[in-house]
Amino acid sequence: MKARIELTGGQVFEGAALCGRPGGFTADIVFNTSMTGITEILTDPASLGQALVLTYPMIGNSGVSFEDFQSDAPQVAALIVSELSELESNFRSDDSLKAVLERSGIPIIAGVDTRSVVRLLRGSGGHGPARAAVTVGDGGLTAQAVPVQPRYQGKRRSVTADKPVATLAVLDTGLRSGLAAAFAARGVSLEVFPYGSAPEGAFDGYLLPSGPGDPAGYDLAPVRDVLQTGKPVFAEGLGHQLLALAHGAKTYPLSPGHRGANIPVYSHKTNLSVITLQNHGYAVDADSVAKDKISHVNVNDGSVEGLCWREDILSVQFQPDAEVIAEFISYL
Amino acid sequence: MPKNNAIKRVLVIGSGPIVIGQAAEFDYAGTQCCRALKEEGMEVILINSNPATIMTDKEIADRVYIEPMTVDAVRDVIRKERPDSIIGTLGGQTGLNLSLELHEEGFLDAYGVRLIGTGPETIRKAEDRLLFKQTMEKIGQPCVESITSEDVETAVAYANETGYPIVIRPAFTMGGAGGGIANDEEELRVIAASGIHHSRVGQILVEKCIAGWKEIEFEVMRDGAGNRITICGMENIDPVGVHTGDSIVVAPTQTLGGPEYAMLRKASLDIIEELGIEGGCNVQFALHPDSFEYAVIEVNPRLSRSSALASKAVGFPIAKVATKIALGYRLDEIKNAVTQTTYACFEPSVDYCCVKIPKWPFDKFATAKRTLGTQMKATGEVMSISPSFEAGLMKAVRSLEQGLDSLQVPELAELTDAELEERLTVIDDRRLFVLAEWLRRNHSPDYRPLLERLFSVTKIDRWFLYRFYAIIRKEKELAASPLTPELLLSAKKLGFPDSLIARQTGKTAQDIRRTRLEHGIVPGYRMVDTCAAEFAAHTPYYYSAYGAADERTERPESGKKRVVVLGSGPIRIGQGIEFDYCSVHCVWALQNAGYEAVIINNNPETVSTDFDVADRLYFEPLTPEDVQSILDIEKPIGVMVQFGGQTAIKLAKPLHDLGIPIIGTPFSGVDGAEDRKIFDRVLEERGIERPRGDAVYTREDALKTARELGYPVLARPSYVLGGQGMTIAFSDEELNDWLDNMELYDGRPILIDQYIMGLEVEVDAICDGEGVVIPGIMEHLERAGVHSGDSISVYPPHRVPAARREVLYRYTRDLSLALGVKGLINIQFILHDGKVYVIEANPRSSRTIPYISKITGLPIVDLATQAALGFKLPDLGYEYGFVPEKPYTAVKMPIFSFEKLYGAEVSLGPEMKSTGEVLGISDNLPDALMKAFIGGGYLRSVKRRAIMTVNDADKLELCALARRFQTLGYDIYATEGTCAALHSHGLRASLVRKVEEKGEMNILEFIRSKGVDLVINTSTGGSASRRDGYLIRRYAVENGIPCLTSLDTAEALLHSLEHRSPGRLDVVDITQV
Repeated sequence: MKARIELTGGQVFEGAALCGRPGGFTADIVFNTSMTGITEILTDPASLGQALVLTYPMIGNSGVSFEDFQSDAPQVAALIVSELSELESNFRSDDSLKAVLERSGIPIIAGVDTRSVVRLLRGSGGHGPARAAVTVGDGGLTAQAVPVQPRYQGKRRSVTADKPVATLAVLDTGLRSGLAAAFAARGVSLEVFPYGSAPEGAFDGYLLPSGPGDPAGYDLAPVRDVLQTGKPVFAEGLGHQLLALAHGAKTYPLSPGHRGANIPVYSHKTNLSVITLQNHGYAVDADSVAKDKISHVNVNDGSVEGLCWREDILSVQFQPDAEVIAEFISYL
Repeated sequence: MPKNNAIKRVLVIGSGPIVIGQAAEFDYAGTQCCRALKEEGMEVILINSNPATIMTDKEIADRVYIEPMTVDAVRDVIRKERPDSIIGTLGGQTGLNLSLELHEEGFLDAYGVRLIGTGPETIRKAEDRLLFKQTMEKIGQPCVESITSEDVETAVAYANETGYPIVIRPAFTMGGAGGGIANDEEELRVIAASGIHHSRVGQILVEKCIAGWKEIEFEVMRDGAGNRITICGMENIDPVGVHTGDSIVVAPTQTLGGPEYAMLRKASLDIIEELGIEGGCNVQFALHPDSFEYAVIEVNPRLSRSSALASKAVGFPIAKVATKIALGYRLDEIKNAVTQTTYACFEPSVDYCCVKIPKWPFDKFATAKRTLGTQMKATGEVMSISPSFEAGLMKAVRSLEQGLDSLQVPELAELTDAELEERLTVIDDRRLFVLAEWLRRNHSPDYRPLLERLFSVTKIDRWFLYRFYAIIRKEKELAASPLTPELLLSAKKLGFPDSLIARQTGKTAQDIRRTRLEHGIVPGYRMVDTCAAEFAAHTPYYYSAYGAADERTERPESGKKRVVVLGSGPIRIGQGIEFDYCSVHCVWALQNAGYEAVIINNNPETVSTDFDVADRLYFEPLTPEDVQSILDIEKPIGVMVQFGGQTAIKLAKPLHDLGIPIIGTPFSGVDGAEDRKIFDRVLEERGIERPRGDAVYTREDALKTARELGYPVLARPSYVLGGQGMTIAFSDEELNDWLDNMELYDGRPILIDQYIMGLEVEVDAICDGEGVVIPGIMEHLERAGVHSGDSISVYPPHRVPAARREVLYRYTRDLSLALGVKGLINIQFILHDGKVYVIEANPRSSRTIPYISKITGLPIVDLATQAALGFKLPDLGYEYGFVPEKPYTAVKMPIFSFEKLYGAEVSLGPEMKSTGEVLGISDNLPDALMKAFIGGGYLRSVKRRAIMTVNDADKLELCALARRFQTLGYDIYATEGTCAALHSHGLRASLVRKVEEKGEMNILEFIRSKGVDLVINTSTGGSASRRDGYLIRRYAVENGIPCLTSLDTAEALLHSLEHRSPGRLDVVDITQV
């Protein structure tokens, strides 16, 4: 099957759809420069509804391990690659990438000059995420718009640590399994509630996870409710942005977003820079927060990467490493 | 944390001569380091015994000492120059060991010299096998189960308990020198003894064998503040068991899933944190193919071959950043040179795949074992960049210049199926091609069983095997289907050259090119930008990709005239780093003359492939098709083919045929020097003498010609490099023997020449079409017959009378003008009986150019480049004729890597065998010789005991030399015949038993017990004594004992021992010569 990607600017790229049903849609188009950890990106709730371009040219080499899923299913609207490897080879592989996306009805568009797409996207200017009309099929199909503001549908569930020392309530805008596991591994159980539903029970603190879309489109009341409790709060990604908005800060769209495994973040606390994984398209406006609240900055563009609203109300824009999580847990 | 302002004068230690395991990558690292230091306003003092390097240029360092790489010499340089700091982590294992020794003996402290960058404690923790193991245990990093041992018995006891095979790794060495895999106790005893010998501290690691695991490497950096990054993860296609320097390597890793990658990345960062690295570091892992189990194999706390590869693979200047870290900067303070907006504190992300293939010297060493193991055997390597692994592999294969355009090897096609099956289990340099041939013969659309079969034999990951299969599948498809534009494009995307597509489809390469152009199937050139296009980059560093948009043509034109310089490809015997020196200087000369210089090369170890050398760098194979595609885009005014060795000059004909202008000496001149008939006619017309001879095509004619000329004769194939396949035959029998092995050169003439045993001299000359400037004459110490690259060469000559010099000048001028040389020419002469004979002329740069440039101070490549562009030498300020001699003597000493090449013949002859060279400089010959011998490692021990065993013809001459050795206090040991000859001349000599006579004083045992520190052996006729001589020489090199195979070399050693100045030899700053 043929596939066609038309950017807002009118540029057209053609490829072959290796799976997915004929049809068309319009979606945010983003690129990610990670060379490994592809399953994690595809299943990250923050990737919901995106036409995802991967810059690494040979994709699917190590197959898919279901253990690496960050949510129940792949979240992207389409995967755009240069080449999908016909053979996967890895001892952990449960299935091929093609089979996994095919089951979810997500098209893989291969044979695309992805580098050229990225070169256009990186220079597309800063008025929100770039959009693309994606059509799959040989006929003259037109793209149907999908919601500009995708929402991740969180489910009520519990993640229980072996020997729990604390329990956090999660307002689920798109909790990554990796983050949940990192807390559980350190003795912190999670009670997960869909965003917007009131967490019932007593908790040692709150976790605002990441998620998709423009933070400005979210209702901030649940976050304000959390702050009302006076308990410790930790936030990542979208949660970090929502927490900032609830404190009266502003957010803005990045163009292009920060999506990759190689993004340097400087910490004012440790006086060191660390390389982080990121997957987001919005950032907190540095001018809208007091300087002394900023705990982390992006080494490359100086954007806000972490905020410390109170000693135990912390948020980071990136996927936090063990040290950051351990620091927060120490306040519980 | 800004720059440490206390650092002002920095001593940089280079890596010495090119040997297997330590090659051009350290010139790249050292040069980048020196440039970074100068950028920061430092005064740079450099020591390196290797004159062929760019780092020893006066433009690169302020003070340059081309001195032996010994603690003595470095001490002298420190005493003289009083640097405040020293960097030892950029000069390979040599630099590291020297700086550590100077630190340990307290010399650095005594002279107030700081060891900057990674410190001594860290180096020891990483290099000392036991300390390293303890450190890894402390931070919970698994090592392979092992013990350290300082004697053979402990190793044997451990191995007998653990089981065989077992791996031996010596401490403080590089390239796996002295190590190996032992399959039984007998092998273990040999390898363990050799390992203990090779280690600086007499220590080995005896390690459980985990052959078959994946081998993964990480290049990592850490600054003094503790910021840490990984530059690149690399995956060896050959699993653990083959030295990483001998493995085909791909970057980034291909078969690791996110969690395994993250696990090893984190392990690397934890390790450099614990070690306290301040600079670059290489961490090698073995990863179990079916679990998360892994082991740290080793850590190199310095720049390495892998770091050079990683630098080129991702476009990150590791040496430069390591240098800045040594000066005190933090990673997040250093700008990313590629994007110029982001910082060095990030992890490069690439959107392509790099493939490295080693270049092995087995074509030079027919007797050497080709199997690959833990001791590295490659002399160099090539790298390629492509969006697909297949195209990367195909490009890399083409770049190797071994007469192959693809995975098709005619010899392997001739094997029977049974032979081929057997070859599958052999791990040698041809394994890739054997696998390809097997897949070709067993081809089936259902490939999974094929992959399983090959995986079970090789343990090469199925993903790579599948990619080999995909190449073969495309070969088959081309042969079976009509060549549609889609099929053609798909083949080009897999890296198929036109020649292969033509062969598969029964067309010609020209047909394919025409069809391609008709359908617009041409490569686009993409930029290497460290960031997978996330940020706009400024690097002029490109690779080709089919089906890709071209980024080169988007760049604005400078308006300058443009010249393309062809580089010299992989480092190999006969074509080393010298040609990179010449290529880089040509680029600089072009830029200085106002031109835009574009370079094409494929060697990741070199300075020429540093992206800030030329105006544009194309990392591409040097084949006619690959070059032509670049020329189609670049449209230069012409191409420089004379600086990149044989690799570049070989392209003169195809480029000429395409009508592309060659700058400098035209193709007719190149051809005139190579084509025997034309060359003879030119010499005759100009009244220039040469040894008589003829070009012949058949055995009968060869024998007839040889008899007419009279034996001995020099026989060689035409159009070869470094005397490959050349021999001196003393009889019909020997000539016949040689001809038996020459079928490879079918269809090309064989040259049979009279062999004149005279004094060999060599000149490099610059010709502008009207006259020549000769920078100097070099005299070879060994009589003609030893390849010029393997001879000790002396500047200025001591045995060439003035009258002969006039003849040399006239011949050089006449020959250069007759051939139409514009640029460089190298001519070799023999002086005999008052006559001068021309033996060969090469209208291109030669391996002596860097050495002669340095000692004369003449910018030879610069002048040659300008001459090639049409400038006249007198207008540039240089009169025709000889350049006045300098009051210094420079001795170039060849360096061999015989100990790394198990089984290789040590005896010197017309075929070149050396891998590198050192220089000795002094104001007198004996001292210059002494420095060269010290630099060459000939005088490491002072037992003054020599074994002499020579052929009958040499016995008389030997006696005279032996007398002088005796006067110097040497005890002489000799085998029967030689011993008798010495006795009959009234010399004292002790008898040693011949090879086959067991018992005390058996010559081989005597050598192995290191009872001697010199072996003099000349080869003999007769197969039994020939074999004995071979064994004696092999034992000598394998036990690290200098072995001289020419009496002339022995004479030179004597001359220097007898006449050297007393006391310490003065170190010479060549910028002041």
